[in-house]
Amino acid sequence: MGKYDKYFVKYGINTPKVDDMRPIVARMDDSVAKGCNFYLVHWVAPGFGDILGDYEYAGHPPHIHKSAELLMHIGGDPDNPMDLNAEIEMYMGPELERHTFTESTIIYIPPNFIHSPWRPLRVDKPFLFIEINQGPVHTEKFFPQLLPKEAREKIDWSMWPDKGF
Amino acid sequence: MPYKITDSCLKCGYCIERCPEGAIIADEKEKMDELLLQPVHIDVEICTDCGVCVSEEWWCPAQAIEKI
Repeated sequence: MGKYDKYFVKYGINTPKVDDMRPIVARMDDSVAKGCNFYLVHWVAPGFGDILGDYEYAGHPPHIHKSAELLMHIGGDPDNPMDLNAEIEMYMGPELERHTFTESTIIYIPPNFIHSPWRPLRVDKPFLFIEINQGPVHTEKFFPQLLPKEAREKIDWSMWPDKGF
Repeated sequence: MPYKITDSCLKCGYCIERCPEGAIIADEKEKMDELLLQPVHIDVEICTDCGVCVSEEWWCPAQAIEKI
């Protein structure tokens, strides 16, 4: 045992696992290391989008965070690092402006900026998703009123509780 | 002059507790299908024109606050 073992964080080995269906490889916040901001890293593998549904506005519903957020999509091919080998759909702003991209991409989300639904339309090869939240805990407030009723009715809202608001 | 809530308001109610002067007032909740929304208005007698509510680009997630 070393004095500084606590600074080597291994998700699920020396930190608790969270109830989450995603293949998480790293998760940090203030509860893991005092003063640390929220970070989450998970793989996105082929078929990931299927579990989010296949209808207009499927995926993580529109929401905000109190702190700024970076959503990094990092392609897994070191020979072509800018090729995500996937196509991602993301809606932005209260207008739900639709964006799609196929390159390694960072999405910057200002504090209180409405974003999502987010979902992979296709994933050809696994890529890394890195969420950096510039606050010590993960907060989330949803805006179901932005979605059409048909989309709202298809979402299991018990999966998406407001946190920290 | 103080500020007002525009028609862009999403009736989320997030602004009520954030106004430092308590000038954003909750109105009667409104039903939208299965949702219960929280309309608000700004009390011009309480608003001190401090401008906090427009100090950040997305202070209001709908950018629904503007100067009268």
